[in-house]
Amino acid sequence: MRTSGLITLSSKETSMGKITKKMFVAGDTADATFLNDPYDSLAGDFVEGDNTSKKWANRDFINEAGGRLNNLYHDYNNGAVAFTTSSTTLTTISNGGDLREVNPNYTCQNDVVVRLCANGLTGIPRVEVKDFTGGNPQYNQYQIAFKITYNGASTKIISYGNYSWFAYAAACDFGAPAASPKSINYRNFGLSILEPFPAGTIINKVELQAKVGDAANELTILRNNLFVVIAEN
Amino acid sequence: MKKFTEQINEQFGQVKPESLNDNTNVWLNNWNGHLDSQNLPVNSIDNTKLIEPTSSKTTITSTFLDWKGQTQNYAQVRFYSGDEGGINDWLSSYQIFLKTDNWTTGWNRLSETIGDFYLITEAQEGMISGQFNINWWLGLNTFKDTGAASAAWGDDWWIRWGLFLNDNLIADTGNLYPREENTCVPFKVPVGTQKIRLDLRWKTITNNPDPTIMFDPTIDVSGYIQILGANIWANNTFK
Repeated sequence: MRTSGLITLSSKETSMGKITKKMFVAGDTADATFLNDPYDSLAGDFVEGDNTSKKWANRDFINEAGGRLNNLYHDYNNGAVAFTTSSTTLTTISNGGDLREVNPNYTCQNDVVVRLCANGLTGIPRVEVKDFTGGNPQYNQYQIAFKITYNGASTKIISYGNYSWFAYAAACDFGAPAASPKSINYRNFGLSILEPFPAGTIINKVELQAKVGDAANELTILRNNLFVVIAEN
Repeated sequence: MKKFTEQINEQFGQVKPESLNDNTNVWLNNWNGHLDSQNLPVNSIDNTKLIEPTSSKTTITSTFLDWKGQTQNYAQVRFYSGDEGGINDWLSSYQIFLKTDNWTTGWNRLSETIGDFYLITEAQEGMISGQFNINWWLGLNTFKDTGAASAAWGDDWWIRWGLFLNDNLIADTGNLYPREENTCVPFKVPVGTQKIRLDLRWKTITNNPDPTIMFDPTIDVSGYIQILGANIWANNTFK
């Protein structure tokens, strides 16, 4: 409990709360200092826990319009047009030219956390190169990743998830199995991660990308979702 | 709306003592413990009035993020093998050799492999939600028995990943059979105002054959778990 520093004279003063005042009785001098002190004190004081009633506040007092606490962006592909790639460098997933990306172009007011989540479904891949020597593990892999563009031209790959075409281990070093292995089809994939950015950063774009370990192999993606949350406070 | 007395007193002005008390009693009573929603309209606290969040990021082996806002906190521990987007991202940095390493048939802590891979943070009473991601590879092997032909071995192996909050299992993958995969599992649990520790654990089965029964005894079946990347992130929302 804080007090305003008001001089206490005779009589009684309020016993609870932050602001004290003199309780005047007949015969007291009505000095302007004492008359005005409670108001002056109030003007320069701060509201604290002692001043408020119990259980009065709820989330409605926080205004999330404008400078929001959380900013959500979403993109999805409903599977009407599949995406295929044989690129060994990360390529943005697109469906008939429709890129799987979100474009916040958001200027961060505070030091923010960008939360990235994606999931999707692969189709039946075409796998020409089947390496089980263990020397080239990338032949048996494909990858999903996030690419973020910020401050206009800066880019960063944030997080990745690797998947194998087959159930075999990369270091399986006994030569190819007698029976031709079957690829794992219709797989769900997922990624999620947090990345901080300082105040003032412009978050331009987040893309969902994919690549394969060998150009002879081809990945098919049927559906996918991309969520981006920029948390301000 | 509440009504407050706003009487300005002047030096040498003539007033009754009771008026002086009445003038101040009303608002003092409010100020001293009864301020409420009538004193602060809804939607009056916007982003510009909240204290700015704090953020810290440190890297030892894993990278830790600790971000604290006014309505929510975020925390994360992450580890990835190579430069993200680079050539090394096809390779694993950690392997658990099931034939030779020490492990149990119960839950094994990933932090025993990646030394600092666990998330400790100060939670506030409310909910904690998040996800763990583990990019693992437990593959089938092949072996040759009495000739050149090889056969698959280990198609009944499985691995299972679980996330523990203060040693309580809160999210679980179930059995996952041989493959490489980035497995994402969400979680959401209520928490008190307390320090919490989230750590990822695994259990598996394997049955590597005795290499002496194979055609070429110099080649061993080395079933192992590869770890290419992992992260645990948590979002603590509170009152």
